[in-house]
Amino acid sequence: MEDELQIAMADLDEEKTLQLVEERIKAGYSSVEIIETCRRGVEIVGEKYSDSHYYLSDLIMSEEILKGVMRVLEPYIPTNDTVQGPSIVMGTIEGDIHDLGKNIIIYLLRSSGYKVHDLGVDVKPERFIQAVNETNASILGISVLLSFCVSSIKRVVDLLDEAGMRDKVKVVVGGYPVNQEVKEFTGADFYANDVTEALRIYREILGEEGPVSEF
Amino acid sequence: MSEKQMLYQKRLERYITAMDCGKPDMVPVAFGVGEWIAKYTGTTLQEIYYDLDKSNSIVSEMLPGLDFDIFKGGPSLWWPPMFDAMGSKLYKFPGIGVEENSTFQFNEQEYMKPEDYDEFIASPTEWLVNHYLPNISTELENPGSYRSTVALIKGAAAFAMQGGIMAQAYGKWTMDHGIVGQGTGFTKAPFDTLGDALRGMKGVLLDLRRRPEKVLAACEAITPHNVNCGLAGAGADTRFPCFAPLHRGAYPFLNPNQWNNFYWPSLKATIEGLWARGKRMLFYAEGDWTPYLDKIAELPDKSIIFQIDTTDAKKAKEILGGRFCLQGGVPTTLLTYGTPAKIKEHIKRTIDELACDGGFILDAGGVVMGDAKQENVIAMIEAAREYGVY
Repeated sequence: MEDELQIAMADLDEEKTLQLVEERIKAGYSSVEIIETCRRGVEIVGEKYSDSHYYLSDLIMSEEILKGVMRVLEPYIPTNDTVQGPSIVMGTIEGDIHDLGKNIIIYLLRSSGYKVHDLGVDVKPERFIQAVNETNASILGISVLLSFCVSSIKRVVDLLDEAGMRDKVKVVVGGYPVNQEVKEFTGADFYANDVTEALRIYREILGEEGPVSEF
Repeated sequence: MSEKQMLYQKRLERYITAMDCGKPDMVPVAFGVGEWIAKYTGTTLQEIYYDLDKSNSIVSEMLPGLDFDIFKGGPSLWWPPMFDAMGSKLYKFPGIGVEENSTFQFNEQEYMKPEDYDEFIASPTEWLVNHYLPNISTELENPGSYRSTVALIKGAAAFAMQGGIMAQAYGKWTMDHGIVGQGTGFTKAPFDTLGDALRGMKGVLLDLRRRPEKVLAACEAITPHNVNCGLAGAGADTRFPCFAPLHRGAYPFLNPNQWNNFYWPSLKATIEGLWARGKRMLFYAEGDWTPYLDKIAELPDKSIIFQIDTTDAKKAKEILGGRFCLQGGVPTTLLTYGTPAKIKEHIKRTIDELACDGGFILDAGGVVMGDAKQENVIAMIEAAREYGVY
């Protein structure tokens, strides 16, 4: 039978989710158990999004509920700074300050256990290269909304080439204006303009390596 | 009647016939000068944004070589001095906040807090003056102070100056080149007024679950203001539509239930309120609106021009065609990454599919940005004339 907390999370019932989390802490559940249950709830949210049952507003709500859960549980959770394994670098390209799509993908990847380094918005091409270098990431995700900024993505790919790092990392471009032509123009490996497709690509690339940990 | 006046009359008739779903002598073509012009004129975007005389002279130089009907304006969307006079936090403009050749960007914040809903709903404009203006402008932080009053006067003066300069420029373009402006007046969907400017996107999307009744009441309170906004800005004009850039109604921001209950009723009421006064809306459906076409078809016949950005054009034609004029058909990415040959081929197909029985205006799907190529934009206009004769 499905867990009540998992259902509340999947149904985006904020009040009930937080109430159940409090109850479980009192009842002696470990933070890892509680998070894992919520994570399964988030997984259902993702599936419902793929089935067009949920929309962006629902994904954002689930992120908000999970943030609330994490705030309650924070004192009990070990940091994941020491986690080893494949990692992902993500950011919104230089000149663009839109972060919704990037944040949703990062949230869903993290709640699936992947380690994601978020560089934020308006990220210079050189900073992407530096981050890939420092983290040894196997995926570089670049988000863009303004088509005006697409040429800076090409610059990132060119810089990876120049640095001899192009084969080490898969470049995924994502966002509203992205399509096959943008992929070809920038020299990226993959493109996605919806969350479901982006997650499918990330999972396919990381498939063999798998997530690094449960949170 | 001069040659240019005759040309104006011909283009006006073309536009009005298409708006009323009729079949003119040829497919009307809409055109706007985008930020892409900067790189062909040796100017920075900052100059184009700040120096209206310069940006208008660029348009004046460009117009003689181009044969299109409906002018959408440009190359810049805003005149920043008005915002600068008030110390506005809303935008980053080229050279101020972003690099001098970078486009403007909106700095979205929760300028209205959840606890502000009741006061806002009770009197939206009063709340805007007392709280919103101070929240969004450093110079207006202390309403009634010397500094704030002067800044408000300066901002209002700048707004009027811009209006005057642009009206003069349009007058000249009409006389010299026979072009017809696309619209008069401006409005928004009430949900977008709330979501874009006041609560921010995340704020309003979370409100849908946390305080849905407040969202509904706020949208209802905004509706008469948005009807008025579309009319008042346009003076008495009802020949041309008011422009309404639509945002959160695009797929997939809202789930169908939210769209039906929160986005649509107040937008529909706004459109019906405008139409009751004879004013049409340019329903600028940025993004993909395919799932909502059936609901949009509930509107009174001809009350909107439906802009096709990434909405499924064939479905739009099937569901809305004949009852509403459709505008668009050329993906903005094609203007950047395509070639004149590809564009020509695309326009031929688009006209075959969408324009056949009239009620269609050829245009770029969305806002054409700085990366578009001039040769592609010109190819679009030329191909439209080549294939657009009925």
